[in-house]
Amino acid sequence: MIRRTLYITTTITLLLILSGVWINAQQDSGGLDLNRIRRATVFVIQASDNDLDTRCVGSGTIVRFDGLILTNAHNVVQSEACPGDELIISMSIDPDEPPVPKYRASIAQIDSGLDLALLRIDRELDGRQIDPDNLPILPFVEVGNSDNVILDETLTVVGYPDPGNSSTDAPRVSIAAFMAEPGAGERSWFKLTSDSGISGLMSGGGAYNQDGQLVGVPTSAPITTNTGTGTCLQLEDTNSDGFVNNNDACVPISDFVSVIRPVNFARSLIRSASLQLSVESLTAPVAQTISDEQPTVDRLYFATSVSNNLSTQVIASAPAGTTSLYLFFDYFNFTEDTVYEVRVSVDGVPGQIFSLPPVRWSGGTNGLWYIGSSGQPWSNGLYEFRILVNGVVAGSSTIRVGGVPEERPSFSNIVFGLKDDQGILQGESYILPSGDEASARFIYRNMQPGTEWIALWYYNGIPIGGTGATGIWTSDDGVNGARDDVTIRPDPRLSPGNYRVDLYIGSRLSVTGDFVVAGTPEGVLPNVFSNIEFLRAENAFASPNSSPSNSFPDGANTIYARFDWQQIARGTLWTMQWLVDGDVFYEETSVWNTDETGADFQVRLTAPDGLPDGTYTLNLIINGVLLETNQVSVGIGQLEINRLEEIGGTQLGGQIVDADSGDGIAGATFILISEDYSVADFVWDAEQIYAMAVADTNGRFEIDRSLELESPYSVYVVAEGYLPITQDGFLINEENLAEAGGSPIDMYIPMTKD
Amino acid sequence: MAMEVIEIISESEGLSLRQRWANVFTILTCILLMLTGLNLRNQVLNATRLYESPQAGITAQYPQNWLIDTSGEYVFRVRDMSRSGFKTTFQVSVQPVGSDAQERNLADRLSLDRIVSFTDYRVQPLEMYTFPDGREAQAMHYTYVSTDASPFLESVPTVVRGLDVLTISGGQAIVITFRADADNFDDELPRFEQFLRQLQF
Amino acid sequence: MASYNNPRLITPPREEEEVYPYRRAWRSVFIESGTVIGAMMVIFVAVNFLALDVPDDFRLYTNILLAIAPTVLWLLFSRVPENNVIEPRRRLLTTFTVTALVANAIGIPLVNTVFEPDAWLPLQSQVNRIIGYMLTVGTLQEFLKYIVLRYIVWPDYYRIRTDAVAYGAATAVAYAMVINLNYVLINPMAASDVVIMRVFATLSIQLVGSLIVAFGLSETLFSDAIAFFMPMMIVLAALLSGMAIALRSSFLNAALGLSISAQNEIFGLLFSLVFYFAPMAVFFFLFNITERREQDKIIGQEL
Repeated sequence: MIRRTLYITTTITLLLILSGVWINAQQDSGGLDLNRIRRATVFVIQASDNDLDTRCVGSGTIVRFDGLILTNAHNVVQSEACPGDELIISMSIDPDEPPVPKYRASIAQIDSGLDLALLRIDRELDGRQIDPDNLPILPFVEVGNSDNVILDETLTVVGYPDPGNSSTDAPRVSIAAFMAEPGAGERSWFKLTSDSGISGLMSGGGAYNQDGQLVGVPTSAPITTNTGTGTCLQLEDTNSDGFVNNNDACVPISDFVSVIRPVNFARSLIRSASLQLSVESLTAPVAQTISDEQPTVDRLYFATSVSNNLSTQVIASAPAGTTSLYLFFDYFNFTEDTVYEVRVSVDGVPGQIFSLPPVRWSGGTNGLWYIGSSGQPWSNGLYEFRILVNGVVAGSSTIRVGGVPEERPSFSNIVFGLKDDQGILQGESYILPSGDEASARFIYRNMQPGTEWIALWYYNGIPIGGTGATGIWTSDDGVNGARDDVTIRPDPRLSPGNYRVDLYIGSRLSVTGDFVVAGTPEGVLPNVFSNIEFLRAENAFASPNSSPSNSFPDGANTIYARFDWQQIARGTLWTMQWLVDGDVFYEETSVWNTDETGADFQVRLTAPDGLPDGTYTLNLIINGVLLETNQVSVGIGQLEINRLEEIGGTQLGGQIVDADSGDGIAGATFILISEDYSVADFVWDAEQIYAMAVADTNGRFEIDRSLELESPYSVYVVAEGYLPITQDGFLINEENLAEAGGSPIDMYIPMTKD
Repeated sequence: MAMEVIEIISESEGLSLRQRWANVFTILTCILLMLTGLNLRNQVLNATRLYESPQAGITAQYPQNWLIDTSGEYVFRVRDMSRSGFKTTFQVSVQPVGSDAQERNLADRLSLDRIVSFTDYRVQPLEMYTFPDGREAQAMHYTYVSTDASPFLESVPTVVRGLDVLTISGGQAIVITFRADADNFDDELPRFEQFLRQLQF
Repeated sequence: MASYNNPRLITPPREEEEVYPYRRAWRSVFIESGTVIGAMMVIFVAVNFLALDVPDDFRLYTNILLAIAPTVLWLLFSRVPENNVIEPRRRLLTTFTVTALVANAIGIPLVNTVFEPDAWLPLQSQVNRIIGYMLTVGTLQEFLKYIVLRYIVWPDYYRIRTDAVAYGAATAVAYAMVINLNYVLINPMAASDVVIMRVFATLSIQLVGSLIVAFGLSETLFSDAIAFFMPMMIVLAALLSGMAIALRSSFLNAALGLSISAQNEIFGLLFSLVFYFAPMAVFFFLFNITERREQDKIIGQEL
C-alpha cells in the first residue's frame, strides 16, 4: 500500500516537473531572439563640450540595418535638463558586458510631442564621417504592429537599467490598460502594472511581444526642472576641479517607467528616416505672436464614448460595470515642452492603472483633449481626476462610478451639416463650407415636456447667437428621438473658423460638439483644397523645371507639390499627410497661418540622393476629414525591396583558430559563396559572394547578413599560411540548427598549417 | 689481460670516376630542382587574371586568387583576402575633372575627401611617375590607420601605407591605388609595379 | 704396485662464435621510432579519450621534452651502444651535430625567407603542392643531409652498408630535432598530442628521406652504381618528403561542421604511420637484399 502510494506520488511529481519544464520550454521557444534584441539595444549618451561630458543617458533600439535607432526624444533633444549637443552610441560587444562607446549619431527624425526620435549613426567615435557603404550591417529588430497587443499580454522590455556595470536587462511586464488620447484612439499608451519595476534608464529601449517584434517604446517622464521627478547622479568631474561633487553636472535619471508608447506612432518617422525623405512647407506663414502665458486647462467633463475625437454625451456619473471612461478638457498655451500628467484616485486612494505618468504633450497649442481608457471595467467608487501641467495641478474633476444607469433626460451624438432646400440636413460632418447657416443634429432620450434646455454657440471661443427650438421641451418634441433644428445663422455669414455648440438640459451640459467651417460649398464636402499638382526639380535648391505631372518615370531628385485653398481661417487646424506606396511617412497637424484664400501653396519633398522610386500621395485633411488627395509616381512607381531590411534567417559567427596552438587567427576570412555557385565555380569575384567576414584579433568573426534556412551555400575559409577549408552544400535546416544550439550559430574552425 | 682493440682504418683509396660524377650530378640535380622550385614559386606568386572594362577603357592583369569587386565607386578593386591584417588592395577609379585641372588638384581632392573618413590620414609630397609607355603621372604616398568596421569584434588598428598614381587622360582622371599594411608595403610594392606595367587605359 | 686417478676431463673445443662487431643500426632505428610511436599512442589516448593533459604552466617544457625525445632515444639506443661494440662507428655525434647546425643555419632560414611555401602553396592544388614541396623544402632538406654525409663521413667511414643506415639516421634525428624545436618554440602552448604527432611525423619524414639518401650513398660506394643513381635517390627522397608534407596536412585539415569543426587527427596519425612503415619496410628489404647479394658475391669469389 505504502509502496503503491509512493509510486503514484513519484509519478505525479515527475509529471508535474516535466510539464513545468515543457511549459517553460514552450515559453522560451518561439520567435523571441533575445540575443539579437540585446545586441540591437544601445546606450545613448548625450554629451556636451569638447570634453564630451555626459549630460543625459537613456536606451535605444536599432530598427534598421544601417544604424537607425529609435529612442525617446527627451533622451536626445537639447533642453535645460539635457544641454548636450553630441550623441554617443554605446553598444555591448558581449551581451553580458556593459556597453562601450562606438559611434556618434545625429537626429534623423523627431516628434517631441510623441517623445520619439530616430537617430542615425553617421560618425565614428572620434567624429570622422562614416561612409554608409562601410558601415557594417548592424543587428536590428523587427518592428511589429502595436495594434495587435492585447490586455494582459506579456511583453519583454529590453534596455539598460543603470549607467553602471550592468548589461542589458530584459524584464517581463504585463499590460494593465490602454490609455486613449486624440489622434491615436484607444492605444495612445500601454499602461503597465504597478509592480513592473522598469528602471527609468530603460526609457527609449524596446518592448517586445512573444514573436520578438518591437511593439512599443518604454517611456519615462521627460526630465525637466519643473516636474521634480527622478534622481540625478554625479558621475564625472565636469568642472575639472579634481572632485566629483555637487558642483559637477549631474546625469538625471527618470523614475520608473510605467507606460509604453506604441510603436505604430514611430512608423512614419522610421519610414521617412529610412528613405531620408524630408517635407518642407515653402509658403511663408504670416508672422504671429507666441503667447508666453502659462498653460491652463478648463471645462473638464466626462464621457463614456468618443466619436471623431468628441464626446458622444457628457455624463455626471457612470453606472456600475462601466468599461470606458474619458475625461475631456479644453487646453490653452500648451507647447511641445509641456509635461502633463493625470492622477486618478478612487475614493481617495491613488489608482495606478488609470493614471498617466508625466509625459510630453503631443497635442497642439489650444484645443480640446481627452484622456481615458476602455476595454476593462472601472470599479465602483468616486474617481477624482487631477491634471498636472509641468508638475502643477491645473484642473480636476470627479465622477462617481456605480449604481444603476440613470434614466434622466439626455442629449448625445451631435453632428453638423447644412440644410437643403427641403430643410433636410445634409453632410453630417465636422467640417462645413462657409455660407449662411449651419445646423446640428442630436439624439435625445427621456426628455419630458417642460424640461428647460438651451443651445449655446461659440465662434473661435466667443459666444454667438443661434436660432432653433430652444427653451422648454414640449410633448410634441417627443421623449426619445433625433432633432436637427438647432441652427446657427451668424450675421453677416457663417465665416470660416472653429465653432462649438453646447447643449444644456437645465444647467447641466449634456452634449457638446466642435466643427470647422472652411471652404466653399461643393457637393457633400466643402471645397477647401484643390488643384494639387506635382512638379520636378533637379535638386532641393533649384526651382521646378517641369510642367505638372503625375508621373516622372525617369525619376526625380525633388518634387514640388502645390495646391490652392479657399476660405480657411487662421487658427484652423489642418493636416498634411504624405504616403509612399500607401505607407504614411509624414503627417503634421498645424495651425493655418496664411491668407484665407489663395493659390500655389508650395510644399517640397526631397531626399539627399534623390527620391526613391515609389508612388507618393499627398492628403490634405481637416478635422479628420480627407478633403483633397493626389498622387505622383516616381521612377518605376514602387519602392525597391531591400533584402537587408528583412528580419529572419539565421545569424552566423564563430572563431577561426590555429589547429595546433588554439590561438585565434587574426585576419582569417570566412566567405559564404552564394547558393548559385560551388567552390569549384568560385573565381574570387565579389558578385559570387553572399556574405564575407574577416576575423578579429581573437579570430572571431561575424557574418552580418542573415542566412536563409534550407539554402545550400558554399563556404571558403582562408588565412595566410594555412590550408583553406572549403565545403559545398553548407546547409542550415531546423534540425541541425537545433543541434547547434539555435541562432546565432557559433562555429569553431581550426585551420591547419603544413 | 684486457685486450685493446686497435682499429686500422685504411685511408681512402680515392673515389672512382663514377663516384665523383655521382657527387657532381647530385649537387647539380639539387641545384636545378631548387631553382625550378623557385621558378614555380615565382610563377604562382605572379600569376594573374585578366580584367577588362570596355566602358572605362581599362585592361588590367591582377593577381590570381585576389577578390575582385566592381560594385563600389571605382572601376574595380582587388584585394588579397588571404592576407592577415589589412588586405592588400589594388584599385582603379575614374573621376571627372575640369579641363584646367592637374594631378595636384586631384590629389588635393582625394586628400580632403579622405581626411574626414580616414583616421590619422597623412600625405607625403607628390613625386613624378612615368608609365612604361612614357606617359607621366604623379604619385602620392600617404598613411592612415585602419580599423575593423564591426563594433562587435575586437581588432587592433593597423597602420596602412598607400600609394596613388594619378594621371589625367582624355578628360578624366585615373587614380590607381595601392594600399597595404605598413609592414608589408615594401614587400608588396614590386607586385604593384608589375600591375602598373600591365595596366592599359 | 701402480694406482690410477680419475682421468682429467677436458672440455672439447668449441667453435668460436662470431660476434657481430657492429651495432645493429636497423634495430636501433626500429627501437627509437617504435618508442616514439608508443609514446604518441599513449599521449593521444590520454588527451583525446581520458581528457588528460599537461597543465599550462608546464606545457612549454613538456613540449620541448617531446621535441627532443627522439634525440634522447637516439643517444640511448644508437650513440651510447657504439661504445660497447667491437667496431664502433666514428663521427656519429659529429654528423648529428653538423646536421643540426646546418639545418638551423641554412635549412630553416632558406625555407622561411627564400622559398616561403606558406605564401604560395596552401592555395594550390594537391599536385602542385606535392611538386612545390618536393622542389623546395624536400630537395633542400635531402640535399643538406647529403652534403653533411658526403663530406663528413662518406666514403671513409662507410665500412658496411648498415653504416649508411646509422649515419643516415643520425642526420634524420638531428634535422627533425631542429624542425621540432622550432615548431614547439613557435607554438609553445600546443596540446601534447598535437606535439607528439608532429614530432613523429617530422621524424618519419626525415628518416625516410635519410634512408633513401643513405641507400644511394651505400650503393654508390659499395656497388659502384651508375653516376645517376645518387641523384635519382635524392629526387626520390625529395618527392617522398614533399608528398608527406602536402598529404599529411591535407588529411589533417578539418571538415566544416555547423558548430565545432575538428581536425581529422586519426587520419593524420594513420597517414604518418603508413608513411613511416611502408618506405622503411621497402628500404630495409632493399638494404638486406643488396647486402646479401654482396656477401654471396664475395663468397662466390672466395670459392
